[in-house]
Amino acid sequence: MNEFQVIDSVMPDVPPPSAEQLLAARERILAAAPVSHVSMAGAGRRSWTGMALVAAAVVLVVGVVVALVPRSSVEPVAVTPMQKLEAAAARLAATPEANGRYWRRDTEHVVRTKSDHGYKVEERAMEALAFGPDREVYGWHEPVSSKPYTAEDLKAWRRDGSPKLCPARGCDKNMPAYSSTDLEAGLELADGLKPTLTELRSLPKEPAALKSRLLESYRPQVDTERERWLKEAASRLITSPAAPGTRAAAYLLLAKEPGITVVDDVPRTFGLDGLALQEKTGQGVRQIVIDRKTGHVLGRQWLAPDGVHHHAEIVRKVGWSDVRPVPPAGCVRCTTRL
Amino acid sequence: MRAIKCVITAPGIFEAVFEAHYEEIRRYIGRRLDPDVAEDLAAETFLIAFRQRERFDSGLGEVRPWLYGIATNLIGRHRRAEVRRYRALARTGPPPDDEGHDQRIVDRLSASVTVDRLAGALARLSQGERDVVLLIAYGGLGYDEVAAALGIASGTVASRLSRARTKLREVLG
Repeated sequence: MNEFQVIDSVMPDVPPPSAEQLLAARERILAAAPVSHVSMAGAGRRSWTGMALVAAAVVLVVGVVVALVPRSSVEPVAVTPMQKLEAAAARLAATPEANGRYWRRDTEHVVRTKSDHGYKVEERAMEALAFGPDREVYGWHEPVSSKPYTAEDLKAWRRDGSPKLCPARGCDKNMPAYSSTDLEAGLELADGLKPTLTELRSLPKEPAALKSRLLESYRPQVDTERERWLKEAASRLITSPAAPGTRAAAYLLLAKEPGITVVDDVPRTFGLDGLALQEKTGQGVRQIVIDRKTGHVLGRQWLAPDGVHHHAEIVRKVGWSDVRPVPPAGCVRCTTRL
Repeated sequence: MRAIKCVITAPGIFEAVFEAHYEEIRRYIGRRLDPDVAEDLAAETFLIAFRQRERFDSGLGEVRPWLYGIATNLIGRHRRAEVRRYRALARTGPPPDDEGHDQRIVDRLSASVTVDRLAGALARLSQGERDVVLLIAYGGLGYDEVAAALGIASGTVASRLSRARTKLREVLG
Protein backbone atom coordinates (compact mmCIF):
# COMPACT_ATOMS: atom_id res chain seq x y z
CA MET A 1 0.00 0.00 0.00
CA ASN A 2 1.57 3.32 -1.02
CA GLU A 3 1.30 6.62 0.82
CA PHE A 4 -1.75 7.76 -1.15
CA GLN A 5 -3.61 4.54 -0.42
CA VAL A 6 -2.73 4.98 3.26
CA ILE A 7 -4.23 8.49 3.23
CA ASP A 8 -7.28 7.20 1.36
CA SER A 9 -7.86 4.34 3.80
CA VAL A 10 -7.07 6.16 7.05
CA MET A 11 -8.81 9.52 6.64
CA PRO A 12 -12.55 9.67 7.42
CA ASP A 13 -14.92 8.97 4.57
CA VAL A 14 -18.35 10.45 3.90
CA PRO A 15 -21.54 8.40 3.59
CA PRO A 16 -23.00 8.16 0.08
CA PRO A 17 -25.94 10.48 -0.67
CA SER A 18 -29.42 9.20 0.02
CA ALA A 19 -31.73 8.62 -2.93
CA GLU A 20 -33.57 11.85 -2.00
CA GLN A 21 -30.35 13.88 -1.88
CA LEU A 22 -29.26 12.49 -5.22
CA LEU A 23 -32.59 13.25 -6.80
CA ALA A 24 -32.55 16.81 -5.42
CA ALA A 25 -29.03 17.42 -6.73
CA ARG A 26 -29.96 15.95 -10.09
CA GLU A 27 -33.01 18.18 -10.41
CA ARG A 28 -31.11 21.25 -9.26
CA ILE A 29 -28.30 20.77 -11.75
CA LEU A 30 -30.24 19.55 -14.73
CA ALA A 31 -32.85 22.28 -14.23
CA ALA A 32 -30.04 24.77 -14.74
CA ALA A 33 -28.83 22.96 -17.84
CA PRO A 34 -31.93 22.70 -20.03
CA VAL A 35 -31.79 21.60 -23.65
CA SER A 36 -32.82 25.01 -25.00
CA HIS A 37 -29.89 26.72 -23.28
CA VAL A 38 -27.29 24.64 -25.03
CA SER A 39 -25.23 26.80 -27.26
CA MET A 40 -24.33 25.37 -30.60
CA ALA A 41 -21.65 28.02 -31.09
CA GLY A 42 -18.53 26.45 -32.33
CA ALA A 43 -20.35 23.68 -34.14
CA GLY A 44 -18.81 24.83 -37.36
CA ARG A 45 -15.38 24.31 -35.95
CA ARG A 46 -16.03 20.67 -35.14
CA SER A 47 -14.41 18.04 -37.25
CA TRP A 48 -16.46 15.47 -39.13
CA THR A 49 -14.98 12.82 -36.86
CA GLY A 50 -16.13 14.77 -33.84
CA MET A 51 -19.58 15.23 -35.30
CA ALA A 52 -19.85 11.53 -36.07
CA LEU A 53 -18.90 10.67 -32.52
CA VAL A 54 -21.40 13.16 -31.13
CA ALA A 55 -24.05 11.60 -33.31
CA ALA A 56 -23.08 8.14 -32.11
CA ALA A 57 -23.11 9.29 -28.50
CA VAL A 58 -26.48 10.97 -28.88
CA VAL A 59 -27.90 7.88 -30.57
CA LEU A 60 -26.67 5.84 -27.62
CA VAL A 61 -28.28 8.21 -25.14
CA VAL A 62 -31.48 8.25 -27.17
CA GLY A 63 -31.32 4.47 -27.16
CA VAL A 64 -30.97 4.53 -23.42
CA VAL A 65 -33.91 6.88 -23.07
CA VAL A 66 -36.01 4.78 -25.44
CA ALA A 67 -35.14 1.72 -23.40
CA LEU A 68 -36.03 3.38 -20.10
CA VAL A 69 -39.07 5.47 -21.01
CA PRO A 70 -42.40 3.64 -21.21
CA ARG A 71 -43.70 3.46 -24.78
CA SER A 72 -47.19 4.54 -23.80
CA SER A 73 -47.76 7.40 -21.41
CA VAL A 74 -51.08 5.82 -20.46
CA GLU A 75 -49.87 2.31 -19.76
CA PRO A 76 -46.31 2.33 -18.37
CA VAL A 77 -44.10 -0.58 -19.31
CA ALA A 78 -41.94 -2.02 -16.56
CA VAL A 79 -38.20 -1.54 -17.02
CA THR A 80 -36.61 -4.94 -16.79
CA PRO A 81 -33.16 -5.66 -15.37
CA MET A 82 -32.09 -6.66 -18.91
CA GLN A 83 -33.15 -3.25 -20.27
CA LYS A 84 -31.21 -1.59 -17.47
CA LEU A 85 -28.17 -3.68 -18.34
CA GLU A 86 -28.47 -2.67 -22.00
CA ALA A 87 -28.61 0.98 -20.94
CA ALA A 88 -25.60 0.58 -18.65
CA ALA A 89 -23.67 -1.22 -21.40
CA ALA A 90 -24.46 1.62 -23.82
CA ARG A 91 -23.07 4.11 -21.34
CA LEU A 92 -19.92 2.06 -20.84
CA ALA A 93 -19.44 1.68 -24.60
CA ALA A 94 -19.69 5.47 -24.97
CA THR A 95 -17.06 6.09 -22.28
CA PRO A 96 -13.92 7.76 -23.60
CA GLU A 97 -10.96 5.91 -22.23
CA ALA A 98 -8.05 7.71 -20.60
CA ASN A 99 -4.69 7.42 -22.29
CA GLY A 100 -1.63 6.10 -20.54
CA ARG A 101 1.24 3.68 -20.78
CA TYR A 102 0.17 1.48 -17.89
CA TRP A 103 -3.14 -0.21 -17.19
CA ARG A 104 -3.74 -1.02 -13.53
CA ARG A 105 -6.52 -2.60 -11.51
CA ASP A 106 -6.69 -2.47 -7.70
CA THR A 107 -9.13 -4.92 -6.18
CA GLU A 108 -10.09 -5.33 -2.55
CA HIS A 109 -10.66 -8.97 -1.59
CA VAL A 110 -13.01 -9.60 1.31
CA VAL A 111 -13.47 -13.06 2.77
CA ARG A 112 -15.71 -14.00 5.68
CA THR A 113 -14.29 -16.92 7.57
CA LYS A 114 -13.39 -18.17 11.04
CA SER A 115 -10.11 -17.05 12.62
CA ASP A 116 -7.62 -19.22 14.48
CA HIS A 117 -9.09 -17.76 17.68
CA GLY A 118 -12.56 -18.93 16.68
CA TYR A 119 -14.09 -15.49 15.90
CA LYS A 120 -16.07 -14.96 12.72
CA VAL A 121 -13.79 -12.54 10.90
CA GLU A 122 -13.74 -10.51 7.74
CA GLU A 123 -10.31 -10.67 6.12
CA ARG A 124 -9.42 -7.87 3.75
CA ALA A 125 -6.55 -7.69 1.30
CA MET A 126 -5.59 -5.51 -1.66
CA GLU A 127 -4.61 -7.06 -4.93
CA ALA A 128 -2.98 -5.13 -7.75
CA LEU A 129 -2.56 -6.21 -11.36
CA ALA A 130 -0.94 -4.02 -14.02
CA PHE A 131 0.38 -4.23 -17.56
CA GLY A 132 3.06 -2.00 -19.06
CA PRO A 133 4.11 -0.96 -22.56
CA ASP A 134 7.04 -3.38 -22.81
CA ARG A 135 5.04 -6.54 -22.02
CA GLU A 136 5.80 -6.20 -18.33
CA VAL A 137 3.23 -7.43 -15.81
CA TYR A 138 2.95 -6.41 -12.16
CA GLY A 139 0.87 -8.26 -9.62
CA TRP A 140 0.83 -8.46 -5.86
CA HIS A 141 -1.42 -9.37 -2.96
CA GLU A 142 -1.18 -7.44 0.29
CA PRO A 143 -3.12 -8.48 3.43
CA VAL A 144 -4.73 -5.46 5.09
CA SER A 145 -6.85 -6.49 8.06
CA SER A 146 -8.77 -9.19 9.86
CA LYS A 147 -11.61 -8.10 12.11
CA PRO A 148 -14.67 -9.65 13.70
CA TYR A 149 -17.79 -8.76 11.73
CA THR A 150 -20.59 -9.71 14.08
CA ALA A 151 -21.42 -7.78 17.25
CA GLU A 152 -21.00 -10.94 19.33
CA ASP A 153 -17.60 -11.77 17.91
CA LEU A 154 -16.42 -8.17 18.23
CA LYS A 155 -17.46 -8.24 21.88
CA ALA A 156 -15.72 -11.58 22.44
CA TRP A 157 -12.57 -10.31 20.73
CA ARG A 158 -12.50 -7.21 22.95
CA ARG A 159 -13.20 -9.33 26.02
CA ASP A 160 -10.18 -11.47 25.14
CA GLY A 161 -7.94 -8.39 25.13
CA SER A 162 -8.18 -7.62 21.38
CA PRO A 163 -5.54 -10.13 20.25
CA LYS A 164 -3.80 -9.41 16.96
CA LEU A 165 -5.68 -11.13 14.14
CA CYS A 166 -3.86 -12.31 11.04
CA PRO A 167 -3.51 -12.11 8.09
CA ALA A 168 -3.29 -8.34 8.36
CA ARG A 169 -0.87 -5.52 7.76
CA GLY A 170 2.20 -6.00 9.96
CA CYS A 171 1.62 -9.71 10.64
CA ASP A 172 4.48 -10.89 8.45
CA LYS A 173 7.26 -8.34 8.50
CA ASN A 174 9.40 -10.45 6.16
CA MET A 175 6.76 -10.68 3.50
CA PRO A 176 4.23 -7.82 3.73
CA ALA A 177 3.07 -8.59 0.17
CA TYR A 178 3.48 -11.49 -2.18
CA SER A 179 3.03 -12.38 -5.82
CA SER A 180 -0.55 -12.36 -7.12
CA THR A 181 -1.99 -15.50 -8.65
CA ASP A 182 -3.18 -13.34 -11.57
CA LEU A 183 0.43 -12.49 -12.41
CA GLU A 184 1.14 -15.81 -14.12
CA ALA A 185 -2.19 -15.84 -15.93
CA GLY A 186 -1.41 -12.41 -17.41
CA LEU A 187 -3.89 -11.73 -20.19
CA GLU A 188 -5.13 -15.31 -20.46
CA LEU A 189 -8.91 -15.31 -20.83
CA ALA A 190 -9.47 -19.08 -20.92
CA ASP A 191 -7.61 -22.28 -21.67
CA GLY A 192 -5.93 -21.76 -25.06
CA LEU A 193 -6.91 -18.10 -25.36
CA LYS A 194 -4.10 -15.76 -24.38
CA PRO A 195 -4.21 -12.61 -26.53
CA THR A 196 -1.55 -9.93 -26.57
CA LEU A 197 -2.55 -6.53 -25.22
CA THR A 198 -2.97 -5.25 -28.78
CA GLU A 199 -5.15 -8.23 -29.75
CA LEU A 200 -7.21 -7.81 -26.59
CA ARG A 201 -7.77 -4.12 -27.31
CA SER A 202 -8.98 -4.85 -30.84
CA LEU A 203 -11.60 -7.48 -29.95
CA PRO A 204 -15.09 -6.85 -31.43
CA LYS A 205 -17.47 -4.46 -29.70
CA GLU A 206 -20.65 -6.23 -30.71
CA PRO A 207 -21.85 -9.28 -28.69
CA ALA A 208 -22.38 -11.76 -31.55
CA ALA A 209 -19.10 -10.84 -33.26
CA LEU A 210 -17.27 -11.04 -29.93
CA LYS A 211 -18.72 -14.48 -29.23
CA SER A 212 -17.62 -15.75 -32.66
CA ARG A 213 -14.13 -14.32 -32.25
CA LEU A 214 -13.69 -15.86 -28.79
CA LEU A 215 -14.97 -19.26 -29.91
CA GLU A 216 -12.41 -19.33 -32.74
CA SER A 217 -9.88 -20.15 -30.01
CA TYR A 218 -11.90 -22.95 -28.44
CA ARG A 219 -10.45 -26.40 -28.95
CA PRO A 220 -12.68 -29.41 -28.05
CA GLN A 221 -9.68 -31.21 -26.56
CA VAL A 222 -9.45 -28.73 -23.63
CA ASP A 223 -10.90 -29.99 -20.37
CA THR A 224 -13.67 -27.37 -20.16
CA GLU A 225 -16.88 -27.78 -22.14
CA ARG A 226 -17.64 -25.08 -24.73
CA GLU A 227 -20.34 -23.16 -22.84
CA ARG A 228 -18.34 -23.00 -19.60
CA TRP A 229 -15.19 -22.03 -21.53
CA LEU A 230 -16.99 -19.11 -23.23
CA LYS A 231 -18.44 -17.86 -19.93
CA GLU A 232 -15.00 -17.94 -18.33
CA ALA A 233 -13.43 -16.03 -21.22
CA ALA A 234 -16.17 -13.35 -21.27
CA SER A 235 -16.11 -13.00 -17.47
CA ARG A 236 -12.36 -12.38 -17.43
CA LEU A 237 -12.72 -9.93 -20.31
CA ILE A 238 -14.96 -7.73 -18.16
CA THR A 239 -12.17 -6.91 -15.71
CA SER A 240 -9.37 -6.86 -18.30
CA PRO A 241 -7.78 -3.91 -20.16
CA ALA A 242 -10.15 -4.56 -23.12
CA ALA A 243 -11.77 -1.49 -24.74
CA PRO A 244 -14.97 -0.20 -23.06
CA GLY A 245 -17.05 -1.30 -26.09
CA THR A 246 -15.68 -4.84 -25.85
CA ARG A 247 -16.37 -5.02 -22.12
CA ALA A 248 -19.92 -3.76 -22.72
CA ALA A 249 -20.38 -6.42 -25.42
CA ALA A 250 -19.13 -9.06 -22.95
CA TYR A 251 -21.95 -8.08 -20.53
CA LEU A 252 -24.58 -8.60 -23.21
CA LEU A 253 -22.94 -11.80 -24.42
CA LEU A 254 -22.98 -13.26 -20.91
CA ALA A 255 -26.54 -12.10 -20.24
CA LYS A 256 -27.75 -14.24 -23.14
CA GLU A 257 -25.83 -17.37 -22.14
CA PRO A 258 -27.86 -20.22 -20.62
CA GLY A 259 -27.84 -20.30 -16.82
CA ILE A 260 -27.08 -16.58 -16.45
CA THR A 261 -29.76 -14.13 -15.35
CA VAL A 262 -29.70 -10.36 -14.92
CA VAL A 263 -30.88 -9.24 -11.47
CA ASP A 264 -31.35 -5.82 -9.91
CA ASP A 265 -31.67 -6.65 -6.23
CA VAL A 266 -28.27 -7.87 -5.10
CA PRO A 267 -27.62 -8.02 -1.35
CA ARG A 268 -25.28 -5.21 -0.25
CA THR A 269 -23.33 -7.17 2.33
CA PHE A 270 -20.02 -5.95 0.92
CA GLY A 271 -21.28 -2.58 -0.30
CA LEU A 272 -21.72 -3.61 -3.92
CA ASP A 273 -24.86 -1.97 -5.26
CA GLY A 274 -25.78 -2.44 -8.88
CA LEU A 275 -27.13 -4.74 -11.55
CA ALA A 276 -25.73 -8.24 -11.53
CA LEU A 277 -25.05 -11.00 -13.98
CA GLN A 278 -25.93 -13.95 -11.79
CA GLU A 279 -25.06 -17.58 -12.27
CA LYS A 280 -25.82 -20.56 -10.04
CA THR A 281 -22.92 -22.95 -9.72
CA GLY A 282 -22.35 -26.10 -7.72
CA GLN A 283 -20.85 -24.03 -4.90
CA GLY A 284 -23.61 -21.42 -4.74
CA VAL A 285 -24.23 -18.22 -6.67
CA ARG A 286 -21.72 -15.95 -8.40
CA GLN A 287 -22.65 -12.35 -9.16
CA ILE A 288 -20.78 -9.88 -11.36
CA VAL A 289 -22.02 -6.50 -10.16
CA ILE A 290 -22.24 -3.59 -12.60
CA ASP A 291 -22.81 0.10 -11.89
CA ARG A 292 -26.27 1.04 -13.18
CA LYS A 293 -25.22 4.54 -14.15
CA THR A 294 -21.77 4.16 -15.68
CA GLY A 295 -21.77 0.53 -16.74
CA HIS A 296 -18.39 -0.05 -15.07
CA VAL A 297 -17.91 -3.32 -13.25
CA LEU A 298 -18.02 -2.82 -9.47
CA GLY A 299 -16.86 -6.28 -8.47
CA ARG A 300 -17.87 -9.88 -7.97
CA GLN A 301 -19.41 -11.63 -5.02
CA TRP A 302 -20.21 -15.17 -4.11
CA LEU A 303 -23.09 -16.55 -2.06
CA ALA A 304 -23.09 -19.93 -0.37
CA PRO A 305 -26.00 -22.27 -1.20
CA ASP A 306 -27.77 -21.00 1.95
CA GLY A 307 -27.69 -17.45 0.51
CA VAL A 308 -25.00 -16.09 2.82
CA HIS A 309 -22.31 -13.93 1.26
CA HIS A 310 -18.84 -15.20 1.98
CA HIS A 311 -16.48 -13.64 -0.53
CA ALA A 312 -16.22 -10.50 -2.67
CA GLU A 313 -13.72 -8.87 -4.98
CA ILE A 314 -14.40 -5.14 -5.11
CA VAL A 315 -12.79 -3.11 -7.88
CA ARG A 316 -11.42 0.00 -6.17
CA LYS A 317 -9.53 1.57 -9.05
CA VAL A 318 -9.02 0.60 -12.65
CA GLY A 319 -7.72 2.39 -15.73
CA TRP A 320 -4.80 3.76 -17.69
CA SER A 321 -2.14 6.22 -16.55
CA ASP A 322 1.51 7.02 -17.06
CA VAL A 323 2.41 6.05 -13.51
CA ARG A 324 4.61 2.97 -13.42
CA PRO A 325 3.34 0.55 -10.75
CA VAL A 326 5.78 -0.03 -7.91
CA PRO A 327 5.33 -3.27 -5.96
CA PRO A 328 5.59 -2.93 -2.16
CA ALA A 329 9.07 -3.21 -0.68
CA GLY A 330 10.06 -6.82 -0.09
CA CYS A 331 7.56 -8.19 -2.62
CA VAL A 332 9.26 -11.16 -4.28
CA ARG A 333 8.50 -12.14 -7.89
CA CYS A 334 5.83 -9.45 -8.21
CA THR A 335 6.83 -8.50 -11.76
CA THR A 336 7.32 -10.56 -14.89
CA ARG A 337 6.93 -10.28 -18.66
CA LEU A 338 4.17 -11.59 -20.91
CA MET B 1 -9.86 13.34 -27.82
CA ARG B 2 -11.55 16.13 -29.76
CA ALA B 3 -14.86 14.34 -29.59
CA ILE B 4 -15.01 14.82 -25.82
CA LYS B 5 -15.41 18.57 -26.20
CA CYS B 6 -18.37 17.95 -28.45
CA VAL B 7 -19.78 15.32 -26.13
CA ILE B 8 -19.78 17.56 -23.07
CA THR B 9 -21.67 20.26 -24.93
CA ALA B 10 -24.54 17.92 -25.74
CA PRO B 11 -27.16 18.21 -22.96
CA GLY B 12 -27.99 14.52 -22.90
CA ILE B 13 -24.32 13.71 -22.48
CA PHE B 14 -23.96 16.33 -19.77
CA GLU B 15 -26.58 14.38 -17.88
CA ALA B 16 -24.49 11.23 -18.37
CA VAL B 17 -21.44 13.13 -17.06
CA PHE B 18 -23.46 14.07 -13.98
CA GLU B 19 -24.55 10.46 -13.46
CA ALA B 20 -21.02 9.18 -13.88
CA HIS B 21 -19.16 11.66 -11.69
CA TYR B 22 -21.48 13.43 -9.24
CA GLU B 23 -21.03 10.99 -6.36
CA GLU B 24 -17.24 10.89 -6.56
CA ILE B 25 -16.97 14.68 -6.76
CA ARG B 26 -19.31 15.02 -3.76
CA ARG B 27 -17.24 12.46 -1.87
CA TYR B 28 -13.98 14.25 -2.71
CA ILE B 29 -15.34 17.57 -1.42
CA GLY B 30 -16.91 15.93 1.63
CA ARG B 31 -13.63 14.32 2.63
CA ARG B 32 -11.75 17.60 2.35
CA LEU B 33 -14.30 19.92 3.91
CA ASP B 34 -17.44 18.70 5.55
CA PRO B 35 -20.18 16.34 4.41
CA ASP B 36 -22.70 19.11 5.10
CA VAL B 37 -21.24 21.48 2.51
CA ALA B 38 -20.31 18.73 0.04
CA GLU B 39 -23.82 18.60 -1.39
CA ASP B 40 -23.86 22.30 -2.26
CA LEU B 41 -20.32 22.50 -3.56
CA ALA B 42 -20.70 19.36 -5.69
CA ALA B 43 -23.82 20.87 -7.25
CA GLU B 44 -21.92 24.13 -7.73
CA THR B 45 -19.10 22.19 -9.44
CA PHE B 46 -21.47 20.79 -12.05
CA LEU B 47 -23.24 24.11 -12.55
CA ILE B 48 -19.89 25.79 -13.20
CA ALA B 49 -18.92 22.91 -15.50
CA PHE B 50 -22.12 23.39 -17.47
CA ARG B 51 -21.68 27.16 -17.71
CA GLN B 52 -18.08 26.74 -18.82
CA ARG B 53 -18.64 23.72 -21.08
CA GLU B 54 -17.57 25.63 -24.18
CA ARG B 55 -14.26 26.36 -22.48
CA PHE B 56 -13.57 22.69 -21.85
CA ASP B 57 -10.55 21.78 -23.90
CA SER B 58 -10.18 18.05 -24.46
CA GLY B 59 -6.66 18.71 -25.70
CA LEU B 60 -5.73 19.46 -22.09
CA GLY B 61 -7.33 16.38 -20.55
CA GLU B 62 -10.47 14.37 -19.87
CA VAL B 63 -13.76 15.39 -18.29
CA ARG B 64 -13.00 13.80 -14.92
CA PRO B 65 -9.84 15.80 -14.07
CA TRP B 66 -11.60 18.92 -15.34
CA LEU B 67 -14.42 18.39 -12.82
CA TYR B 68 -11.91 17.69 -10.05
CA GLY B 69 -10.14 20.91 -10.97
CA ILE B 70 -13.34 22.93 -10.60
CA ALA B 71 -14.11 21.22 -7.29
CA THR B 72 -10.57 21.90 -6.03
CA ASN B 73 -10.92 25.59 -6.90
CA LEU B 74 -14.15 25.72 -4.91
CA ILE B 75 -12.47 23.97 -1.98
CA GLY B 76 -9.73 26.62 -2.18
CA ARG B 77 -12.33 29.23 -1.21
CA HIS B 78 -12.84 27.32 2.03
CA ARG B 79 -9.20 26.64 2.81
CA ARG B 80 -9.44 27.94 6.36
CA ALA B 81 -12.36 25.61 7.06
CA GLU B 82 -10.37 22.72 5.63
CA VAL B 83 -7.35 23.40 7.84
CA ARG B 84 -9.62 23.89 10.87
CA ARG B 85 -11.13 20.48 10.17
CA TYR B 86 -7.73 18.79 10.05
CA ARG B 87 -6.71 20.46 13.29
CA ALA B 88 -9.92 19.31 14.94
CA LEU B 89 -9.31 15.75 13.71
CA ALA B 90 -5.76 15.98 15.00
CA ARG B 91 -7.12 16.82 18.45
CA THR B 92 -10.07 14.46 18.60
CA GLY B 93 -9.64 11.75 15.96
CA PRO B 94 -12.43 10.79 13.53
CA PRO B 95 -16.03 11.82 14.18
CA PRO B 96 -18.09 9.09 15.84
CA ASP B 97 -20.57 9.03 12.97
CA ASP B 98 -17.92 8.42 10.33
CA GLU B 99 -19.48 5.54 8.42
CA GLY B 100 -16.19 3.84 7.70
CA HIS B 101 -14.93 4.24 11.23
CA ASP B 102 -16.05 0.86 12.53
CA GLN B 103 -14.84 -0.87 9.42
CA ARG B 104 -11.40 0.67 9.62
CA ILE B 105 -10.84 0.64 13.35
CA VAL B 106 -8.89 -2.60 13.28
CA ASP B 107 -6.82 -1.34 10.35
CA ARG B 108 -5.94 1.73 12.31
CA LEU B 109 -5.06 -0.16 15.42
CA SER B 110 -2.75 -2.40 13.47
CA ALA B 111 -1.29 0.39 11.35
CA SER B 112 1.24 2.88 12.54
CA VAL B 113 -0.64 5.70 10.82
CA THR B 114 -3.53 7.22 12.75
CA VAL B 115 -6.13 9.79 11.73
CA ASP B 116 -4.99 12.38 14.25
CA ARG B 117 -1.34 12.27 13.19
CA LEU B 118 -2.18 12.24 9.50
CA ALA B 119 -4.69 15.09 9.84
CA GLY B 120 -2.05 17.13 11.68
CA ALA B 121 0.41 16.51 8.87
CA LEU B 122 -2.12 17.45 6.18
CA ALA B 123 -2.84 20.70 8.04
CA ARG B 124 0.85 21.59 7.79
CA LEU B 125 0.92 21.28 3.98
CA SER B 126 0.46 24.35 1.80
CA GLN B 127 -2.82 24.55 -0.12
CA GLY B 128 -1.07 23.68 -3.40
CA GLU B 129 0.71 20.70 -1.89
CA ARG B 130 -2.51 19.45 -0.30
CA ASP B 131 -4.39 19.79 -3.60
CA VAL B 132 -1.84 17.60 -5.37
CA VAL B 133 -1.67 14.96 -2.64
CA LEU B 134 -5.44 14.67 -2.15
CA LEU B 135 -6.31 14.69 -5.86
CA ILE B 136 -4.13 11.59 -6.12
CA ALA B 137 -5.17 10.00 -2.82
CA TYR B 138 -8.92 10.71 -2.88
CA GLY B 139 -9.52 11.23 -6.60
CA GLY B 140 -7.16 8.55 -7.87
CA LEU B 141 -5.86 10.97 -10.50
CA GLY B 142 -2.54 10.36 -12.26
CA TYR B 143 0.16 13.03 -12.21
CA ASP B 144 -0.74 14.25 -15.70
CA GLU B 145 -4.38 14.43 -14.73
CA VAL B 146 -3.51 16.45 -11.62
CA ALA B 147 -1.56 18.86 -13.82
CA ALA B 148 -4.56 19.17 -16.15
CA ALA B 149 -6.99 19.58 -13.24
CA LEU B 150 -5.02 22.37 -11.60
CA GLY B 151 -3.80 23.97 -14.82
CA ILE B 152 -0.15 23.64 -13.80
CA ALA B 153 2.88 22.01 -15.38
CA SER B 154 3.73 18.37 -14.65
CA GLY B 155 7.03 19.55 -13.19
CA THR B 156 5.14 21.70 -10.70
CA VAL B 157 3.07 18.68 -9.68
CA ALA B 158 6.28 16.72 -9.11
CA SER B 159 7.93 19.46 -7.05
CA ARG B 160 4.82 20.04 -4.90
CA LEU B 161 4.60 16.30 -4.36
CA SER B 162 8.23 16.10 -3.40
CA ARG B 163 7.83 18.86 -0.80
CA ALA B 164 4.63 17.27 0.51
CA ARG B 165 6.32 13.89 0.85
CA THR B 166 9.10 15.42 2.90
CA LYS B 167 6.53 16.94 5.26
CA LEU B 168 4.45 13.75 5.44
CA ARG B 169 7.42 11.41 5.88
CA GLU B 170 7.38 11.76 9.63
CA VAL B 171 3.86 10.31 9.72
CA LEU B 172 3.85 7.96 6.75
CA GLY B 173 7.35 6.65 7.23
